[in-house]
Amino acid sequence: MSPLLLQQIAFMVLAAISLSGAWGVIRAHSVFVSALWLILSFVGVAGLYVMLEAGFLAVIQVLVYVGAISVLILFAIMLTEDVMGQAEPASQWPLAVLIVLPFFGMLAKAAFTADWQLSAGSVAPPEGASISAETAKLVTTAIPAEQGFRLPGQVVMLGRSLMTEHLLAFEVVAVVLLVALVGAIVIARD
Amino acid sequence: MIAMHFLQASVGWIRGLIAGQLGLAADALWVDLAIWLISALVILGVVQVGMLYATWLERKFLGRIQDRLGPNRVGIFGLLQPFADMVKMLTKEDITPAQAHRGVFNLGAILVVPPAIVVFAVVPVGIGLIATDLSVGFLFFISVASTAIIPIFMAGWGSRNKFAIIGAMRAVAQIVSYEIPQVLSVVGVLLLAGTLSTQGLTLAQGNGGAGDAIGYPGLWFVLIQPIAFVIFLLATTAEIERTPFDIPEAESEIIAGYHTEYSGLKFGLFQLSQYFMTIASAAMASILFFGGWLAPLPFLQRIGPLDLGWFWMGAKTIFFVLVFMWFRGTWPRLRSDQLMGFAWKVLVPLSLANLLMTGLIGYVTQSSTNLSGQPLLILLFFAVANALLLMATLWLIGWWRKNSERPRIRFEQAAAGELPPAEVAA
Repeated sequence: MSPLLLQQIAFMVLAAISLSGAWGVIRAHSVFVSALWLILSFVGVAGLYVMLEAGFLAVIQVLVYVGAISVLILFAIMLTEDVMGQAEPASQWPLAVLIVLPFFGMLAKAAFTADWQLSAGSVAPPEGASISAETAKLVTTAIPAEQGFRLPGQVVMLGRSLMTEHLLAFEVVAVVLLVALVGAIVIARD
Repeated sequence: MIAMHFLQASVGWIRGLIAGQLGLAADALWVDLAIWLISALVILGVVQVGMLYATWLERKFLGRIQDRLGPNRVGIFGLLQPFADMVKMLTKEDITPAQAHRGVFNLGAILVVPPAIVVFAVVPVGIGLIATDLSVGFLFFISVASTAIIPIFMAGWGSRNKFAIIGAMRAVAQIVSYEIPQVLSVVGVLLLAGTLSTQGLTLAQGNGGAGDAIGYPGLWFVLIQPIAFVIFLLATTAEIERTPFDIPEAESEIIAGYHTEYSGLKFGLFQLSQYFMTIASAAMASILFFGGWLAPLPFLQRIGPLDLGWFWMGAKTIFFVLVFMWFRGTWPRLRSDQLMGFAWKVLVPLSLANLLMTGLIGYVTQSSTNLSGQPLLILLFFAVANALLLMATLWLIGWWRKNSERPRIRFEQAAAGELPPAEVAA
């Protein structure tokens, strides 16, 4: 079994996890269970990030989406008595389809027209694995796949670009978060 | 150095052995998979035995603290007690409440264990002896540990029990709050070490290897970052819900919190994950602040060709497990609002101040050529700064306590003549 095939299998499994999570979200009979399915979907996406050699992003995805945002959703559901009980399975699906279709169209168009370049690392085979000559040419300068995840530069590069190129955005985000915090306290005190 | 070569050679030898058995090249994918499988099995085995004896140790140690003997009937010193407990747990009736949401209730008990095992993947016990040396090792630990809230939520909601829901709510509020000081306190250490990898963090505290390049050779981070260490230890105790922060399971208030409805093996799974997390957190405390698998003195690192990293790592981990048990034996439980106040009003500001202090001094010492590579001078710098920070904190807390007025109870109000006469008469 070649690593390339293994990667494809891993991708299929992860994609299936994300999609079945998403399907569960819209089919579940209770809002709470919907939220749990959403978490499964988040975990699948984190796995996809690992496959894309974005280890840092994957870890942050788990930390922020699984560990914090979904917990916030669950918390909100539990504090809201009306939605705690058994809810109707989504009865507004035609409207939902109408809203979602344009977005899906945009995504599909982007996916089919984009100029997909095989990036370094993700498809690099170890010695001896057979790949097409065309792919081989693309990956000769690539980093071995098993090292990609461990590159120490990943976090350093991210930090550097946050502190130089995207400094303004970084600072603005910090201010926005601070304002949100102060706002939450003001609302809670009323 | 010889020991290092020996170790690498032995890992290579295992690799070759497996490859020979499977009839493959030593760097084939299947050999990698086999190595991963073996490391997973080793982790499972060690951690499970560790957990069994952590329960025994806890009962013995708490017994001694409370002037009792602890278990002493099954085996010598009660050493077989964990196995007796296991048999008892396995043979108990498994009850699912009639009103419970079956799927969520059962999944909650099952899913609570995996995060507590997965975190051990980034715990190093020696050079090359780590299941997977991720470049984001510490973040991996934090993020995987943070997912453990979700099964707790599932358990609380799935049980359809008021106490379980209250327990789950408390657990989530507590874990989410204490995650912030826990991570913020470690950021100082990460800044000084310049890496997120657990192996890198260990090596940065050594007096060989990477420590030299970073400029703090041979110093355990607890010496440079004592305040951060105390914050980390307290926040971690809250994260793993151990006394005095075990409000989610406070039995005098809400029975057993989110696992009120679980019995038999499912209750055992909750216990299991809690002890796993205790061991993992103890290991993380020793990696971050006490040099991980490094020996306290260089000549204790190895006997002949045998590297003692596993011994030091194990000893430090057991030490911190004992510290957590000591907390449990000696501190009373906090009240829920005191708990949240402590996180947000004391630990978060203090860890922010510590981070600022570390950043400033780290920048000065690392950018100045006179200071880099002089551990004693750096230590002095940090000692002064830490002492100042500690004094400022204590002064602030004292000032705050003096100026914040406690709401007076009725008796005091009546004595001061503040109550309307009608109420006093009643």
